[in-house]
Amino acid sequence: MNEKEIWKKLAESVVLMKEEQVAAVANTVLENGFSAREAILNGLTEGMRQVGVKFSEKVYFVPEVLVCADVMYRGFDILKDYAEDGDKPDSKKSSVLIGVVEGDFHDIGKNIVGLMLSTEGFIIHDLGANISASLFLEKIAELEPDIVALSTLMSTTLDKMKTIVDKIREEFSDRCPKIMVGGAPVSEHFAEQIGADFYGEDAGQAVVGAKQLVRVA
Amino acid sequence: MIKSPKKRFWDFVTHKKLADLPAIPIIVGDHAAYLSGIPVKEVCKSGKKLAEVLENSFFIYNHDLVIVFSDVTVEAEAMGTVISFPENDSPYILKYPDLSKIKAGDPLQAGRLPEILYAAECCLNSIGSDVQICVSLKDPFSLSAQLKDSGDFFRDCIKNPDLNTKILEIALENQKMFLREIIKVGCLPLIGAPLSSGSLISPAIFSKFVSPYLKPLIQIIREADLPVMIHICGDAEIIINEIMLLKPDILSVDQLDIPKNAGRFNGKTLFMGNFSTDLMVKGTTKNICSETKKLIQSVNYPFLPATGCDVPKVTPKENVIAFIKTVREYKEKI
Repeated sequence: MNEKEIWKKLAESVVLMKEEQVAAVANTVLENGFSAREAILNGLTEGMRQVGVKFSEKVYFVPEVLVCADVMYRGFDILKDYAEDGDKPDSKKSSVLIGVVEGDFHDIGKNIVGLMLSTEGFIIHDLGANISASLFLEKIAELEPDIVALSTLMSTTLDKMKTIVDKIREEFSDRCPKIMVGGAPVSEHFAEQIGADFYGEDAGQAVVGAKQLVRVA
Repeated sequence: MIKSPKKRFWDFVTHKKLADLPAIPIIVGDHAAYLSGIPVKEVCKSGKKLAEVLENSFFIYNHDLVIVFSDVTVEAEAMGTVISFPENDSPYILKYPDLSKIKAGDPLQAGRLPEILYAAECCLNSIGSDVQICVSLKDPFSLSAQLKDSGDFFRDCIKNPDLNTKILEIALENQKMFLREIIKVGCLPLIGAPLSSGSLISPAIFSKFVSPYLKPLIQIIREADLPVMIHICGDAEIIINEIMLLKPDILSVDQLDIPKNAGRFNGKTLFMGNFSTDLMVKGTTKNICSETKKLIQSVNYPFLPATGCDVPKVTPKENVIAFIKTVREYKEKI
């Protein structure tokens, strides 16, 4: 197999959830002296991008995305130490601080968005679930992310989402990161009302929006 | 003669005449607690308090179905999941049980199941002659996804299905026992499926891991000669064919094109939904009236106007009243 065939096989392994195949192909990359970095970018990441498309098109759902991600990470773990120093993917990319708002512990959607963004090259700072406004403020000051992504599955926590957005705007007025929101009860109208910069209907849209917000081609 | 909400509900379910159109804002523990000024934690932990706030909400709204439901963690807790109770917010999972030790809980003893049954009895005794009392219980898939990390549970639908099947079978046993007690008390069961949603799982996974564990519950309900009511959270469109194979009598939905599907499945299932809960909490009484009218007018077949999911905790009561008033006024014009 040449390099391009290897990349294709890696992408296919991710999309088709073939964990043993991804490990075998990743090892082939190393044995043949091919670029681990290129294999990650053009193989594993490309596979995950295709998974994102399938998720947006409702061909794949949460279980499939999670298993595909496991396969991607299996390949990534084999290749990551061989990606050239200082030239590893993601090293010069924009960062996203992501978390589920206070009062909500449903983090699957947030995890998928974080995963999709990371495969597109964003550096992800994942705060987890049930995150208070004060912790968001503390971490924004510490990490200076380009984007803050807020998620909730519960309509009961929409008020908390508004509070967090208000406090971020108040605290970081002139150097405020871009704010994107999403989750089942969130709508475009609601996002506009609370002053978010972007509303992502699903993980695929979140990636498109994040790229727009930091103007990545 | 003015009909009671109970008569209105049953007349409509039985005869499906538009003149009997009921109004069903899905009022559960947290909004009812908010209405009564009682912390959510107290309502979640005490059947007596839950009954009191649900009764109070009925006195305020006079809505056509009272649903006994405090929060989504009740059955998981009864099976060993450790739950945390914030003072005025919904409970959440702290720790999952040891899967090798989980077993179906006795609904008369395990966790808060007796509290739910007690709340149901209290509601029946106080307002049960005026309004139909429902008790919500989860489908085994949604319950199982609370007995271990939900991400791992979803993964294992593909990677380790046998492990999930074992959990589902125990969850089913738990729910069968709980369901029988709900029926014994004299309430109508409402099977809620928060995680068996097209927003999360494919039709194939629904067929393999949701339907087979719903069927035995449905059989018990049918044997009791009660209507089968199922509520699907999130997107139901993509799994609608799989759901309809279960032949529910009433299908409550959040995201579904009801006009299209009510026509497609007319006569087989009564659809219930799907007024936006976002609008309910954020809207004005004026736009709630106009959107309620639009919802009713959009469906050319009998259906139950309801919120798509639970009325959010902090919803202004004027908004809920506007929804109910609009449904009733619409009816009067027929």
